[in-house]
Parts: sequence; C-alpha cells; structure tokens
Amino acid sequence: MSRYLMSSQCVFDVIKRRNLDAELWLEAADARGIYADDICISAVTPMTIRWQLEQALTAARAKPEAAAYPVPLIRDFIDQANRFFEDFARDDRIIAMDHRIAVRWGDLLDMKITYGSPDGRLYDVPSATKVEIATALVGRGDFPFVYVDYHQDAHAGIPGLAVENPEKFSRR
Amino acid sequence: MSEFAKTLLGFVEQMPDSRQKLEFLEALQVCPPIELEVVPEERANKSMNHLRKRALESGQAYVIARAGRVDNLAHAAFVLSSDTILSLIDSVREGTERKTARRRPASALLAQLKPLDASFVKMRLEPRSQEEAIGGRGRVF
Repeated sequence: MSRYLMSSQCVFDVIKRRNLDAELWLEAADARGIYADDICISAVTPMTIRWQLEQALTAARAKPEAAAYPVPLIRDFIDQANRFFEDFARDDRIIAMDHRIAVRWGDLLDMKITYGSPDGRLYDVPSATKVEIATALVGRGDFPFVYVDYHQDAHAGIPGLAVENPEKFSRR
Repeated sequence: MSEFAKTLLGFVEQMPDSRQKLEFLEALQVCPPIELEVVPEERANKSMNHLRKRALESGQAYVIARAGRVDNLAHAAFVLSSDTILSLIDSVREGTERKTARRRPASALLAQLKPLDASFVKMRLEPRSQEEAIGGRGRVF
C-alpha cells in the first residue's frame, strides 16, 4: 500500500484536465489498486499554484491586450484549483510541514539540485520544491511517499527518494 | 502480528482470492496493536454504562459478542465493513483519528474537474525569482 505525493507541476497539469500525463497517471491508478486516500500533496503545492495563477491574473489585468491568457479563463483555472485543493484538505491529504520534514528540508537546502525545463533551460530547484521532496522522503506515519513527478536527472542524486514518472503510464 | 490482526486473519484467509484480500493481508502485516476487547453479551448487558465510560476514558474499543465469542457473522452484535476495518488499521497506523472510511478510486479526484481552455496546456509553474530575498506577492496578509 504505497502512498504517493504528487509534485506541484503534476497537480497543476491534472487541474487543467487536458489529458496530460499526470492526469493519465491518475486515471491508470485505479487499475493498480491505488485509492484517492493514497494520494497526497504537500502544503506548499496550493501556494505554489495559486502564486503562478495570481501572476498570470495580474499580468492579464495590467495589459489585457498583451496577456497570454484572458482574465475569465484564469479565474476558471483558479476556481478549479481551489475545488481540487478542497478535496485534499477535506480528507486530510495536504501534508503539513512538521519538525521531521523541516530537518530533511534543511538538508536539501544545503544541496544544489538542478532541474531542466522542457526548453532545455537549467535552473536551481526552488525551496518550495525542496519542501515537497522533503515531505516525500519523510512521508507519513514512518512510511515515505513515492514522489510523482516528471523525469529530472537530479532525482537520482537525492538519497532515498522514490520517484514515479507519470509519462511512463501515458496511453500515448 | 497484533492480536487484532491475528483475529482478523482467520476471516480474511477464507475470502476468495481478490484484490481486496491482498490488500487485507498487506494491511494486517503492518497493523500495529489495536486495543480492542471482545466482551461477552452477558457482561455487556450488566455493565454497559461501565464499558461505555471505560471506552471514553481509555479510548479502547469493545466488540460485544453473543455467548462471548464471534465465530460467525450472525453471532456478532455489530459488523464492520471491510472498508471500515481497513480504514481503522490505516488510522491507527497513522496515529490520526480524522481518517474516515472513504475509499474512493484515485480517478474520482478528476470527477469535479472540467477541461480548461486548451491554451493552458503548455503553461508551466515557473520558479519564483528572488523568493528568498523579497518574498511576498506585493501584498502581505
């Protein structure tokens, strides 16, 4: 009975409901005997996603003619994200930071972890993502989570981190 | 294996082979001790108030059994569904009492979501720049 912690990017893609790999992973999870109870998110994930959407909303309000996404569409996105987060909050599946996670987060803050974006740009992993990884490493009730995230070479350099790449479960 | 798990194992082993049976067997392997006492119906009839008070004080659960034992379902004063038992094991394992007996398939999380505009497909979360030094969103609290 493994438990899974979805990365913020995976949660972001699920909320879009556009048949992206993270959503297909969730659909395929039924056949693998994974229940909704087995899937959690980090406490920083709602913050991370809301921040991204608020940035887009601010840009769209400031310069509507140049905005990549119009305001009503971003509002739809925010509403849908909030509903999704409420589902996790209701069942106590948003994992708060406790002292054990904080200790592991401290270890990760001292590590240089570099991710690559789809366009090939390299960037240092932000501290919020390190909280997610620390949460996956510590887990809940002495059982670490499997971290559900798209492939990054840097995952292999994080001791003890079990990762599942949703792209492997894609129907495409 | 805890006494609780050993007690349940006898029933689980008689289940037909299924995914649920495998889940049960796996759950029983990791099940920590659960304080649960099987009380004969006669004793329960005489001291229900006492049992209730003790249950409230100690948090210990009681199963009231006819003739002092539960050897088939008809003899049980009440029956817990398999989902409830799994949830009970889960909640004790996690040390939380907030867990409820809800076992929805993973894809149920998608039920409330509708497809958003296709233009969002390539939108990605950007790392926050200068987050350590400045932080905030231009408005604090």
